[in-house]
Amino acid sequence: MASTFICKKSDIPQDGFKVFDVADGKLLIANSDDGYYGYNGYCPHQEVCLAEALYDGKVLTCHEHLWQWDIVSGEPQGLAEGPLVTKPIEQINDEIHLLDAA
Amino acid sequence: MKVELIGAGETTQVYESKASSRLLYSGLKEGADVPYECATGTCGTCKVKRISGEFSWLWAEAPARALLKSTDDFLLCQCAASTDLKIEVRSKLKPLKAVDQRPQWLTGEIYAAATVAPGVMTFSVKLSQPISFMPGQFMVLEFAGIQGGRAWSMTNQAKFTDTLDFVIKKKPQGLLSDYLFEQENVIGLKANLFGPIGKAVYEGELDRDLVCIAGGTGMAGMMSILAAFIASGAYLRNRADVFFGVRTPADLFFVSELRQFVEQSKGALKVLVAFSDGPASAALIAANPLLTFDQGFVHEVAMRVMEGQFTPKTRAYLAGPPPLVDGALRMLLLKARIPATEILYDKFG
Repeated sequence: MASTFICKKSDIPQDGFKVFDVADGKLLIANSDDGYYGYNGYCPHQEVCLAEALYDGKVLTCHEHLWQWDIVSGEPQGLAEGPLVTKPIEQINDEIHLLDAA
Repeated sequence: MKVELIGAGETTQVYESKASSRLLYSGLKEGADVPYECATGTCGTCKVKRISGEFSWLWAEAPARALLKSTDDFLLCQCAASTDLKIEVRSKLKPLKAVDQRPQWLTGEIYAAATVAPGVMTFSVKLSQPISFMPGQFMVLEFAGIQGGRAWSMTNQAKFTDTLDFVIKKKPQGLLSDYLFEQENVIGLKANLFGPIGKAVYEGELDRDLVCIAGGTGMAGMMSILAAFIASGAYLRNRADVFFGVRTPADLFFVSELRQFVEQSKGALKVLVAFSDGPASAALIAANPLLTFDQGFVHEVAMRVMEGQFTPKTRAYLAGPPPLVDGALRMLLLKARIPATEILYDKFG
């Protein structure tokens, strides 16, 4: 499947995240342990950009109204009422790519 | 006009709103679970999306309008219904909790006022009828001839009262605060008030240890919360650690009130004043043995002093300029590991 280069793995801090501009909006890529996870970079609550979100390596917290998600599953925790929207990413050697929509 | 809210998880609510009424206030009056925080057009929390119908802007220049991405997006607090409306809300709509009193429009008159620090004024309003409100709640005040309202937290607490106390700061380009500070005498000024509203509230019956971090006039709602902490007897089982940040000793206010809280609490309530722009004078320290003074940004001082002191019952209240609230939030969540459900604040920025 075709994919778009987003960043090198080393661009994402250990247990950190970054938000990138992509064709259809924002893409959030987070690291947790050895894994990398891709989500829509806007909060599913009020569409706030998650670039300022708080993250401890396991749980992502939107800084506006404290909705929280498990970073591995994207499932809601605490006050959150809905999951993060998963974006398909793949690791190619030391790079992270976003899979193009079919 | 009929307003139909469509929330997440197939939840719906319906309420009525007049053509001239703010959609947020009509919803709150009728007990609908309309999203909001500042209620005055700056925070963007009441952003919703039109599914069908027409609305009009009451204040087209509202700062939070810049956050909207489409012409179907609008702010409930700054728009009125022109026809029946169907609106998408991004959270689940919950049934109204049994609150003491739904918000309403009231009239009142300022009957007392004082300048308590440079650019800081306290004033008291006598209402045309008594209301009940929760400690930490606020009212939106409007004065004749000034466009838009301003949200100010009550500093007093009472189960049922016809007097509300406020503390306000003179803001650069703050239309309403400019207006009030420019009056030779504010006594007798009439106001329209909408409220009480606000979700960062304290119930004295709740078994929680309080950590209050406030900057400047963000202390307003904290004063109401601390008064309730004392009046409810919560101080007999819980502790309260209060951190109050101002720039310099000259900017400090509420000293005697805070001293009184400390005295009444028999040691359960502690107050630390942090000056961001310099140290406390020896005279200030000597005159206030019941208060502690420190230097630095108040949220950083709070985290340093509270290290190892948070309890499983900690509940944090935050109020003040956005950098303070954001900084405190970050430290409480990531370092102190306080659950998000126990950190309460209303964003006004």
